[in-house]
Parts: sequence; C-alpha cells; structure tokens
Amino acid sequence: MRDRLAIITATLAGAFMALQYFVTLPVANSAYRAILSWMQIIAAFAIVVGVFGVIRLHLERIGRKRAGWLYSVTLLAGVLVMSILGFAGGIDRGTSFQWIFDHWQAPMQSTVFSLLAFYIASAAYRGFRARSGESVILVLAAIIVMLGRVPLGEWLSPIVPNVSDWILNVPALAAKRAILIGIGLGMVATSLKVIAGLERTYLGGR
Amino acid sequence: MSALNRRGFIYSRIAIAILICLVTALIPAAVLADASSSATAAAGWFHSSRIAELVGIVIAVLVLAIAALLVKRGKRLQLRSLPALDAVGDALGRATELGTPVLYSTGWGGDMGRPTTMASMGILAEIAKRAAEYNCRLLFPSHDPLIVSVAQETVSQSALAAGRPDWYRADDISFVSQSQLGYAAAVDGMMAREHPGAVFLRGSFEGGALILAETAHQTGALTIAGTDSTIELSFFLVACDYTLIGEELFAASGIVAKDPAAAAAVWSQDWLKYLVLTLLIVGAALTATVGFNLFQWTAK
Amino acid sequence: MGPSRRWIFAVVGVVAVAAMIFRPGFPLSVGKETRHVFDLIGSLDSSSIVMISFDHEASSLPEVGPLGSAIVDHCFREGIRVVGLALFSEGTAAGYELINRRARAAGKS
Repeated sequence: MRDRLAIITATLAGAFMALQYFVTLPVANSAYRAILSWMQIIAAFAIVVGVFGVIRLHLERIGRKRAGWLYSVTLLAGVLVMSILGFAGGIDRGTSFQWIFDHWQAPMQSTVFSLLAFYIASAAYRGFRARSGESVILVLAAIIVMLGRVPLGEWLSPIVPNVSDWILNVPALAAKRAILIGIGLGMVATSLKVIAGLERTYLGGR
Repeated sequence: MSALNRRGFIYSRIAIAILICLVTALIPAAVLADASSSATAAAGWFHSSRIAELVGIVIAVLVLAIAALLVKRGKRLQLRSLPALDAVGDALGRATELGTPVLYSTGWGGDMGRPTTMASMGILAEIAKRAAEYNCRLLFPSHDPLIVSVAQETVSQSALAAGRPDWYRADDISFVSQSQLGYAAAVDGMMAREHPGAVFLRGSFEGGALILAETAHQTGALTIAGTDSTIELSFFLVACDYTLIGEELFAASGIVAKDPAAAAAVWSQDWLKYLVLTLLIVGAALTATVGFNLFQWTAK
Repeated sequence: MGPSRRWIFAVVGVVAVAAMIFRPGFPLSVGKETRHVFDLIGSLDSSSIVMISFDHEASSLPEVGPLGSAIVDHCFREGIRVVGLALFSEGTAAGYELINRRARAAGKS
C-alpha cells in the first residue's frame, strides 16, 4: 500500500510537472513554484539527516575500534569544532570559522584538485599508448587542441588556434551532440517510466 | 503484489500517461484552431511555441505504449548487449577470488530525482544481488543522504532476493561529504585502505571523476564506469577498463532489470533513437537541397 | 604505482615548478569567446543586472576566481549591477566574498 501511494504520487507529480510546462495558467505557475520551494526545503532537511547519519556511523566505528577508527575521531573533531565556531562566532570575514575555511579547508581541497594535473597526464599516457589508428588520431588531436589553448600555440603559428577551434567546434561537438541526443532520449524514457510507474528504483528496489 | 496484479498496475499507469498526453495534445490543436480565426486567441493559456516538444513527448509515449503492448502479447524484444555490463560478472568474480570488496559510486552532483541516479540504482540492485550471491562485500559511499537511504533499501532488498539477508551491512553504505573534492578524497581513501577488486563508477560525475578513476586503477581495481556527463566521459574512456557511454547507462538499467516492462522501455528508447536519426537526415537533406529548415519551422 | 607513472608524475611536477620559477613569457592574446562575453556586457545599458553563478567550491578558486573577478570588475566599470548565486554552499561564500572584495576595490561598497 505504501509503495502504491508513492507510485501514484510520482505519477501525479510527474504528470503535473509535464503539463505545467505547456500551460500559461497562473495557478499552474504558482503550484510549480510551490513544488520547487518544497523540494528545496526537503533537500535542506536531508542534509541534517546526512550529518546525523555520519555522526552515528563514526561514533559506532570508534566504539567498536574498527580499522581506521582514528580517521573517525578526526572527522568528528572537525564536525564539532566547525559547528561550535560557526554557531558561536558566526561565519563572516575575520571569524575563526572563516580563518579555518581559508587556511585549512581551501588549501586541502585545492591539493586534491591539483592531483588532476598528474592524473590527466597518467590517464593520457595510457590512452595514447594503445597502438591503434584511433590512438594516433587521439594523440594528434590532443596535441593540436592543447597547443591551441595556450599562448605557445599562437606563438608557433596563428593556424594552430584555428585548427584547435575547428577540432573542438566541428568533429568534437558533433560527437558530443550525438551523445547528448542519446542521453536526452534516455532521460525521456526514464521520466516516462517514472510517470507510468515502471521505474521504481527510487523506492529502493521494492 | 502478485506478478499479474503488478503488470495490470503497470499498464494502468501507462494508460494514465497516454491519456494525459493525448488530452494535452488536444489543447494546442484547439488553440491553433482559435489562432486561425483570431490572432489574439493563441496567446491564451497554452504555450503555442512549445507544440514541437509536446508532439515529441506524445510520440515517445506512443512508442513506449507500442513496446508495452508487444510485451503483453508475448513478443520477446531483442535488446542489445553491452560489454560494460557483460564485464560485471568477471569483475565480481575477480573481487571474490581476491577476497576484496567491490566499490560502487553513483558519482557526485546528482540527486535521487535525476534519471541518471535512478538508472544507476537499477544497476546497483543487480550488482548487489550478485555480490550477495558471491558473498563479496559491497562499499557504497555517497554525497547525498537521500541516495544513501535509497541505496540501503536497494541493497537490503537485493540481499533478500539473493537469499542472503545476513550479507547486508548498512554501515558499508554511507554518506561521506557533500563537497565535491571532499567526496573524491573520502572515496580515494576508501580505495587505498580497502583495495577493492572492482570499482563501479556509474552516475553523474563532475571534476572528481578522473581522480576516482585513476586511484581505482592505481589500486589495481577493474574499473567499470558510465556517465551522462560528456566532459567526464572522455576521462572515463581513457582511464577505465569499460565505459557505458551516455544513454547506454539508461539502457543498462533496463537490461539488468530482466523485467518485461523495463525491456519495453529500452526497446522504445532504441526506436526513438532511430526516429531522431531519420529526422536529422531528412532535416539535413531538406536544408541542403531545397533550403527548407525543418528545425526552425518546428520552433516557430 | 608503476615506474612509468612515477616518471610521468615527476615530469609534470618538474614542468609545473619550472614554469613558476622561470615564468616563460609568450604573447597573450584575447580569444574570441572572451571578447564576445565582454562586448556583450559592454552593450548592456546601466539599468541592467548581470547574474553570475559561482558554481564552484574552494578547490577551484585558483582556476575560477580570476575569471569571476574579471567579469565582476567589467560589470562595475560599466556601472552594471551584479547578482550572485550558487548551486554549492561553498560557492555562495566564495561568490559573496569575491563580489564584496571587488566592490571595495571599485569603491562601490
């Protein structure tokens, strides 16, 4: 019964959202905006649920001294310190919360982000190493596009950025659009499945 | 719900969807009829500029309905095979032999309302079922608490379906961080500590995709990916062992479901693709030969 | 980690550090897309509002921050009001801080 109610709700909500796109009635417009607001409110509550879930999980790991329980201590200390600093002193410029954000969190995140430079190089190496006709085209296109995106390319020849632009705007874009059309159709099929009650993965596979 | 009742319920939902689309299709027809007699009538309560989209939706619903009817009449729909799906068995077998867990991620950025996440959950259900049969541990870190709830329910149902309810560990399906790079760092750490034999990256991905794929490769895992992000797709194609490209992710979800209704959806998706392909060819030919732009005409 | 990957990582590291130390100077020209965006903002009248979405986190500040600064500065030069928004909570803080900083620099705070 509970599942049936959820499916009927999804069918009605999905059909309404599809319908409101085609009508200009003020009532449909305001209902649409109300649904969007409710979605935001529910999503905000979900964060609270998530945070409590994380705290419970890591308290349990510490309690049972599971492998890597010290990481759990670090995580909980972070949650506790940032919450206290945020609630007590605020999050504006000049506060301790902001100082930790600027001097700890941002550099740590930037460090993870900077790994991309190394990972792109190693992934590209593996991609280029494959001895096939496709990999030769891949290498050539990559060299031209990379040169065309940096000042060195233009310094070598003004043709390089133009060829780079052509690769990006013609063959690459054509392939991208073909993939996007497929994705769009996949999304349409999935959405119709939700409206028709065929897609029930959001219920947890019941 | 019995299979018969469930099927009846499914077709009644399709009937409702078709009814809704047909009713909405009649409205623009009425508006257009008014427009021909009075120029101002078209500015009524219907977006007359969106008729092309409406026609597209009606066609999509009709194709899905035809597929559902064929299934109902007992026709066995021929579905394509996907190498990235066929490799799932090998990946799980490898992890089981090595005595390592497998890691499944629906990515970062998508929520439960996104079709990509729904498709990924469909694949998770099948992988979890097989992992339970093999007694292979499954790790599922997520950036979204709602996805965690749905995944816990999905995996526990799969464990039940496999006859191994004891295999399910709720702790292995956890929320880690809503921050993109925080999520990537947490999953990387998990891979470095647990050394999963196989890593499944299927869903919405953004900047952290390559970090996850390369770490998985470095830790020796077999990586099977799939995403609807065209930017991250290029990273997956070079960094992963198998990749579901774009719509293959949606098709894969239907193929693994082994459900006639899901098969009908995959079949309809393929036929819609042929239809779009035909339209593109006809449109390009009309523009090149007689200078008639079909797409501008439909946008009017 | 295989030996080939070690070498790749070493080469990337050396090139990145060398570029920071020696700072090789190549002529830098403004691309078509950049010119188009700036011309578009320049063509707006002063009553217009430009909405800028700071859809990034602290991690990509070094990459996206200067981009945001350049657009916000250009809007302020043209006397156009700016509205910032973000999909990520960190983006809200980063955008808020950036707009305030550039507004102070432009004498508009």
